[in-house]
Amino acid sequence: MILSVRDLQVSYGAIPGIRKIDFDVAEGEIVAVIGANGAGKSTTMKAITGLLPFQGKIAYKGADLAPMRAEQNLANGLALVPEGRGILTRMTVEENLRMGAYLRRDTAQVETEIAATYERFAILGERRSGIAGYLSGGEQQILAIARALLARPKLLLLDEPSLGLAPLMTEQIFAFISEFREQGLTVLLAEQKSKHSLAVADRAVLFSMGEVVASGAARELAEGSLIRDTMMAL
Amino acid sequence: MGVSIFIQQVLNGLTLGAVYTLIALAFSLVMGILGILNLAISEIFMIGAFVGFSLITAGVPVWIALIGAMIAAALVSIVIARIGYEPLRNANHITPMLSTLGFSMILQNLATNTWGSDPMQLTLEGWLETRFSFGLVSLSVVQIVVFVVTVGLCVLTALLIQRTDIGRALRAVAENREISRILGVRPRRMILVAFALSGLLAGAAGVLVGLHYSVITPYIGVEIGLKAIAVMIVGGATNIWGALLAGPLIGILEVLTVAYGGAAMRDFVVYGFMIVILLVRPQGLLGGSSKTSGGRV
Ligand SMILES: Nc1ncnc2c1ncn2[C@@H]1O[C@H](COP(=O)(O)OP(=O)(O)OP(=O)(O)O)[C@@H](O)[C@H]1O
Ligand SMILES: [Mg+2]
Repeated sequence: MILSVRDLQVSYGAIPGIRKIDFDVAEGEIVAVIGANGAGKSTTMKAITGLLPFQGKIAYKGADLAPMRAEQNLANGLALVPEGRGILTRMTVEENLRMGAYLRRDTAQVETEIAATYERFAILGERRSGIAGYLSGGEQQILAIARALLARPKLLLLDEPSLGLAPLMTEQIFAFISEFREQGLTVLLAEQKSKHSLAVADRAVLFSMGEVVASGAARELAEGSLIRDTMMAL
Repeated sequence: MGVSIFIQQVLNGLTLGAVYTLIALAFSLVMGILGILNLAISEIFMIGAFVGFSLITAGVPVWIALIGAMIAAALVSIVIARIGYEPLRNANHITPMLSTLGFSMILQNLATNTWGSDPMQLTLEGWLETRFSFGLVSLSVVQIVVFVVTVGLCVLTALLIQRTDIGRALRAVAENREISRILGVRPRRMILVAFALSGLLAGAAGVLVGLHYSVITPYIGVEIGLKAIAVMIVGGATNIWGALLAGPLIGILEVLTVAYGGAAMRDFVVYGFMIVILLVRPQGLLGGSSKTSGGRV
């Protein structure tokens, strides 16, 4: 297991963010975390990446994450693409990409990878000197993902990458996500909409009100009615 | 004759404005990241002037004294960040500002106890006194030094902020602290960097003002610090590069007012100008929408 989460609890003051979350991610897998508004997806991802203090146990490559700061987790290969993209809107596209490699010291290699990023995501190449805040929502999402990849993550956490995107753009983002698997990247993908995520994921975990209510192979969850029932019940 | 005097005054105004620009940049660096006015900067500037004067009086060459004063001012600034700001960072914005105001009182007290409240006079090394004359207009070596050092420091600051990892990290923290953490930046460390840079600039400004007037008191921080805040506001508090335009502008305005309207009119005109700018262009000369301004830092 590259990541294992046990009995995870996070509270925002008196408000319980998540009550009890358990799941595992194996190396090379894409695991989807499905849940409605307020189910605890973002909170879980922030706890894993070191942005929020937590109770319970999170182990990454066997090491306890409790004492780790966000930048140590990033240096160890845990990169988050946050909900709402988290673009630095006043900086240029290129500066955003450079910030993705902020902790890296292999500058020559970073330059090569930035050039490769412009090849792979043509829109970023065209707009490299443009202010990132002026990109469309979908373009910003691509920038956010490309930026996270420049940190050379081993486990990429994507928090609702399809939020607010048109169907065509959503297709494109999910196409990128399935490419990541071929590159050997492990992905934890949070989504409200289960259709696309279950199609690209190997396994899925269903969150509801801060707890895990179901988990299993993505295909089985996609065929059953459990997800629909859970979402409807809310 | 009239034209020469005018040119002379503009040159004098540019020198004064250069110093305002440096202090305004010092204010902006902290303002941009934390959204608070570090009121102690005026007094850090004053401490820089005294440290520089003391070193020069002790026979240290001007350049070394300048660097020494910058470092001393940066250290004071870091101490203020640690003791006066960090413990209060989650409090309402007004609280850390009051704390920096407290520090400014302490620094002034420290200065009067160490150096006395009488003006401290500096006898400049001979070469600094040299004046170059062009017809009726003349320029002293001190003025040239003030100008060159200011421009040099502004260029270095601009390069640091626009072109380096540290500069991008500072801007990232200024825009969104949580996102900066996601990217591996340590915001608290960047806050110390901002305070240190701000101290370096204020300290340099202190030495330059001291050289320019060749006399200082523990109270110079109050007056010149307020002018620098006016420069920051006129230039646009959301865009630190506004100070590069507003500093010389206000310096020239001030000097011309004194020359043609009398010294009594000076503050009336300078702060009147600031209020007019606030009324007609509240975002300042270069402050635009947050997107186009390129950020406060
Ligand atoms: N900063 C916060 N302060 C207080 N409560 C919070 C905060 N952030 C989240 N919560 C609460 O924690 C719970 C889980 O929220 P979280 O954002 O993790 O859900 P989510 O599954 O990501 O939802 P969404 O799909 O809407 O993004 C919710 O009840 C929410 O109200
Ligand atoms: Mg969320």
